[in-house]
Amino acid sequence: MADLGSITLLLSLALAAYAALGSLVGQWKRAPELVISARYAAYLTPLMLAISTTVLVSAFVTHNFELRYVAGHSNLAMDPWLTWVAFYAGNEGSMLFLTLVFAAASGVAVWRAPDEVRPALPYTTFVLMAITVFFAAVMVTMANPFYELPVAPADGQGINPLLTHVGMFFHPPMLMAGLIGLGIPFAFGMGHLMAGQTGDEWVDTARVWALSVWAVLTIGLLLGAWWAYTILGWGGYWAWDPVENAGLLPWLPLTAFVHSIMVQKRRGMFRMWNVALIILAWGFAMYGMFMNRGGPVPSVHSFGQSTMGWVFLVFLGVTVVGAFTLFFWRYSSLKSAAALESHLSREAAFLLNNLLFLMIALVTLWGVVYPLVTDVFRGVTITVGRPYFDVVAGPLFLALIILMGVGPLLPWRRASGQSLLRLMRIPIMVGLGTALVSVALGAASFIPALAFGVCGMALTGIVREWAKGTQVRHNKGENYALAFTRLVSSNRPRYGGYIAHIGIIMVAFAATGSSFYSLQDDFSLLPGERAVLGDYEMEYLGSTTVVKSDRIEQRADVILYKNGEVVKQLQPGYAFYPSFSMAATRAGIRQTPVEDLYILASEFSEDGRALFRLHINPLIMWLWLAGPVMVFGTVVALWPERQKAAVAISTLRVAPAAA
Amino acid sequence: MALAFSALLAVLVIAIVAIPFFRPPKKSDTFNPQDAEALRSQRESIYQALQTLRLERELGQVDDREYQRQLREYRRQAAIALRQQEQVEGDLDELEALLEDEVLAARSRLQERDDHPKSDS
Repeated sequence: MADLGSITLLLSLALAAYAALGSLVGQWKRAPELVISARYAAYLTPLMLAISTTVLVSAFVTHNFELRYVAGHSNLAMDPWLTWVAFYAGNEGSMLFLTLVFAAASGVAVWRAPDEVRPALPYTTFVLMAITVFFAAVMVTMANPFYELPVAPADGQGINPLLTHVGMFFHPPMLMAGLIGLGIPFAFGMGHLMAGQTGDEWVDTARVWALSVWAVLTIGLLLGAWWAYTILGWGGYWAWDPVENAGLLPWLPLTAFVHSIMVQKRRGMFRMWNVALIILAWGFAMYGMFMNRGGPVPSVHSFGQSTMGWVFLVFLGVTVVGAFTLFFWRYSSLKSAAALESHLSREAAFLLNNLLFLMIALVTLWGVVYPLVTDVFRGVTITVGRPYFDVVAGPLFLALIILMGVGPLLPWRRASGQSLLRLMRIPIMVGLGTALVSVALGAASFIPALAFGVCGMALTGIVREWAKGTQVRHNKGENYALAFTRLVSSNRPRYGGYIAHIGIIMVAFAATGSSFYSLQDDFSLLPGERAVLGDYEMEYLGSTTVVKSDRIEQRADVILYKNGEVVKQLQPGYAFYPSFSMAATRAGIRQTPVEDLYILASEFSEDGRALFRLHINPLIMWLWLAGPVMVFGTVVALWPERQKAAVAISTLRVAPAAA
Repeated sequence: MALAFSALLAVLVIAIVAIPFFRPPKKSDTFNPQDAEALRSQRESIYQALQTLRLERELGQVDDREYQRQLREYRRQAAIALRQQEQVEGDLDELEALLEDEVLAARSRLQERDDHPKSDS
């Protein structure tokens, strides 16, 4: 069966190469048969990769330890439900997953391409398939998951303990799909430039793909935070780790892109800017791959490392330099169709939003590369930690939230200062009220009060727009529920965007609460002893040891009290994996919308004594709830609208004076 | 077994990729209807802009004077788009009439042949 996997890998490489060259040559030579044949090859590529994937997954299921990859990432004791995680637990499998996802998305992108991008489609197909060729070639030559060992071991090494978490079913695939998926809008942008198109033909398609990728990447990042929170055992969810930053970096220009592409769609502006943004987002995505697969900075994500980081660095260089060369070649044809009419307009707000996102990306990048810079130029590695990012990126994020409150109240093209002040009155008052309430409830300092105030203002700005719009429709005779539904469906990109904004406000709310109000203390307890933190009291009952074939689990039984009443029984502990010399923590968490009580147990002594670290992390639950809200917002924004333009425009002919 | 299946797969893949070289391209396979598509897109965009302008006025974000100014401009753009569309549709009508004439002529030729078959047949 391994032969089948290897052969289908080779076939996928050959098909992708043919699709890339065939598209390009067919377009140059005006040979539609060749272009169509290349397109068929693009459709067949993911099918071949799907067969390879099936072969590899079945090798895991049947414990085929002849395959080096299967022997290195599973063993007989591995729970069968972890097979899917084991599939992408190492370099070779994750490369196969990435290539499959990208080839499948490329096939769909080519197949479903609307008419307006069809003239550029051969070039887009070329870019998509050239990327596929790179990944397939790396797999075939450097990371073949079907490499067979001369002698099959009796048992495998087992899966990395840190991956034995339910979050691993979704976090790595979502993050990988998000990073590689950026290649789709990038390819449409490049295809547009290569075809010499001068208008906004690629905008709608790129927007749909960019938004989809944005949702996937956002969920991937949030799931990563959840995984870190529950398994890494340090009580937090975001450590500004180099690989975490590598996932965040493409998200920043991509978020800027999904905003500014609306300006191009609506007004034909920011044409150069949008192309530059998508190139930047793609470049950062490739940088993320480089960091994940042998990047030079140490990270908690060390399981993903290999020695092939340099290949990704070269690919990053080639694609970004090539893309910017094309950009400058077509520079003169990318002039905007309209100019910025006023600095007090929605377009201007989008521009400011873009600049803020890029500033955050730049300071984050600087924090990531600074250790390398000091290493190269001064011979010492100076690590950049959380304080740097909090101080530098924190205010920029806060400015973004303020803009999120003001932006929805600004009309396109031009607003008067007077009307903006009038519309901002209620949000500002609510924001001030929120800040005052947070001070009354014991705000730690000016900054969290300001942050909560800004969240309150931004949320009120959005709710006010919904309320006013619903009221206007209600005044025309619709009941409130119908008025609200029709308001949202009348402009789905706008209102879907606001729902996603609410998700972002929830993230800011959770980040502020957990950053400024958390409590932490350590306790050494004998069975029967109690520890107190805030309003909570924890009683340690005793410990349990469970020996399994691949690990030793130590669990503490604790009862949690709040204000003297039992609220929950928990079993924090850890599992030690001798073959990896590694322990995976399992935190005991009592979660409520107000706060989490987070318990870590370690160092179990023979006399029954155990060490505990207790955290009270306020508002964390809002971070996990934000994910579904943002996805829902994206779905609303992407939901297709009915075609009403013909009727509406025609009515202008007969009723020109109405208004 | 796996090798035989792989070989079969390779042959199948080559056959599928070669199909376009052995059949004439369908109309949907060739890319051209740019003008009509661009006009549709432009019309859609003006319609969206008008919708949003109305909404912004109702929400109190745009005052009456600004609303009227933008409305006038969008109407002008809509008028241009409609004129261009009529032009394209006119060209299409002309082509359609030409095609119709060709079909009628062919039919009458066939009819004539059926009515007056050649003497040797």
